[in-house]
Amino acid sequence: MIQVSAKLPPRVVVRGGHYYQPRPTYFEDETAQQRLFDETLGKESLRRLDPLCQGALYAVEMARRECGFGAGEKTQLAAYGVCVATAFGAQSTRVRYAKRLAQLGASATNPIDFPDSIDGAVASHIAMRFGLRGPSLTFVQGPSSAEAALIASCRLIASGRAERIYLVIGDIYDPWLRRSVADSLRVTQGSHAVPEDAVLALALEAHATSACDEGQVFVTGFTGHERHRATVEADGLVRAVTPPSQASADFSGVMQIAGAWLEVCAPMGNPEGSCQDGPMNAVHDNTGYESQLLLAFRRKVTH
Amino acid sequence: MSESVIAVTGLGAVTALGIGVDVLWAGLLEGRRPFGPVRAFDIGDCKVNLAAEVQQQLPSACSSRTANLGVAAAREALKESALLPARSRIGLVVASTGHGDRALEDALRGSAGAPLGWQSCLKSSLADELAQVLELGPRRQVINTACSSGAIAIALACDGLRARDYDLVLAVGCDELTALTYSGFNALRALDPAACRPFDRNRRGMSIGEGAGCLVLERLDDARKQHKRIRGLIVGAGLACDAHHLTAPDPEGKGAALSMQMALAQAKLPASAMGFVNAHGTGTSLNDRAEIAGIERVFGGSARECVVHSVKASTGHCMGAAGTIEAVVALLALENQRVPHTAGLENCEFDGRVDCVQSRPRAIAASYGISNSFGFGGNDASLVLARAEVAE
Repeated sequence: MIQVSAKLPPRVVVRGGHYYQPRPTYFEDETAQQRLFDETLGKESLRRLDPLCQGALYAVEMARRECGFGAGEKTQLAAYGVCVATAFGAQSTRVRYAKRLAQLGASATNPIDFPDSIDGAVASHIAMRFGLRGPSLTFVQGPSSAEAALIASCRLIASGRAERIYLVIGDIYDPWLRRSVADSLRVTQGSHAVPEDAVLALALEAHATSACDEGQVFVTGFTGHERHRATVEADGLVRAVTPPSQASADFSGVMQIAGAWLEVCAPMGNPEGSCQDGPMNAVHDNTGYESQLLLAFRRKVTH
Repeated sequence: MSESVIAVTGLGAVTALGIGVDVLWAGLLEGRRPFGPVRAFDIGDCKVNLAAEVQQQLPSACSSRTANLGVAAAREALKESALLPARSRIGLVVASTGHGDRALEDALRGSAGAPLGWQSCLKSSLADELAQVLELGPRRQVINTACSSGAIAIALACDGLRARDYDLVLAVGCDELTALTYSGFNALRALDPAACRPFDRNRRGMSIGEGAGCLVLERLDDARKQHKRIRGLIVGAGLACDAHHLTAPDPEGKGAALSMQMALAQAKLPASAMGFVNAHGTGTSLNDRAEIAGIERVFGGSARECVVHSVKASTGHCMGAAGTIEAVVALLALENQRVPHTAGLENCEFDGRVDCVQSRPRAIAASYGISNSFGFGGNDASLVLARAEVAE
């Protein structure tokens, strides 16, 4: 058992989560998922919300169910927040709004589309639906958004500014944008990068206030913004050591899950600042690395 | 104290008042209102034609005007901070709501099926460009929480410093005037046909501006060791959400109050220690009422003596840049012990409830002030700032 130093933040619990893909994999029942999706969101949300927002609301609701947060849960809590990570944000609504503006003029635009087209709207809809009055953050830094949101969420909890954060990571592409991204990456980056739709929601809680079971997965340490080497030293404490080379192009983090370190990393351009030259593997599915976190949680495995 | 307190060692600002912090401050004290017909694009059939645009020549180092606004503000701030750590230990936290809009608009106006420069739509490209031009390292964050983005960028930058992610960080908010944003607020009928008049009984909405603000932040101990000039301190930040409506604020100001209370709690200060509130103060009927209600919740019986002002009557609402520009102004107010008046405010709706500064700047004797930024979706952020002398 690894001790947690007083210098390290209190433990953050991964209480539960849900991984949503609009096109389920072969072993899932697509019809059943669609029915559940429609029932969960309701007609109003399905009619007008951005697809990313829909996916996010659904994933959070399913994560809440998995955690056992029912209708009796306290709402309007200042200690509960939401943190969203997305490369493109509410792009479908943005493209729709911009198309009408460009083709038909300002008077033809839908006033509801405008606020919904802002990236932060996804977090706002989650906060409104679930009564979250704590911090509401949205990271929009391309492939590294997820790491930044994960780290920010852990910090908010560890510092006592939030007891629970719903961490939502995802992108659902507008067809036009998907085509553009795919065409561009095929030419410049090789064939591995295909834009895919997915949303991951995790419920993170402070260990001190969580009603979780013993044996729950913990995030006991986390570092970020650069590749770190984590070591367990003789005194049993965990320390992260920044390597001598500071020239890393990666915006990375490592986090400790149930006693083992999981490294998550996503490239964010190169040190010279060109987004286009950086490896783009995380763009195709902005949830890729963080899915490992959920899988680790589900399987109770360590890496 | 020094462990959690963050020092501001450089300030930069670009607004319609001009380029530079001194120009901004002088313009606010004079009560200038640099609004005029929109020049950046054809407003088409929008009903209101008024905005606060930057008229001066900007750097042309970047591909977008938003990035060039950010570069201008950041260069000013970095020049002041002077001694910089190794490039790899410098962080960058960028706030923008509209970066990529112009690229999207251009692509949509182009020939059918023309490939979109989709990288330009990624807000990370804004940080990449700024980092490249300013020769910064790879530690970058980009956030968009609508109009509170700038203040939240400062809060996150402070968190990163405390966690020693970097040794110096630039918190930059920047946004250019775009057709998408302008038409959006026009569609919501939120634009005042005259220049905005926050807190005035006759106010009819907001006025959009463009600009950038930049704060260079360092841990207080580090700044002292290097004998840097400390322009002020960030001692608390509060983040909250109304969880009420996508465009309308909670009419009781609960979210606004919560963010102010959280900022005060982090600063370990009572509301009574605040010399002024630099209000979000957009000039829309609902926003101003909700914010004043929030101030009353926080300040209680002493709200009537609470000095309140808004700079948006002189800069316009600069969206993602607003929070950083207004933090710069709050620090200047503490440094100069003067609070600029809210230009255009003639008949205050909130007389007797708070002390709105009108007609002329107000001399103060204060060590602390609050700067509020509230955005669509009820995204609220408040910063508690202190004058540099507090650290001594």
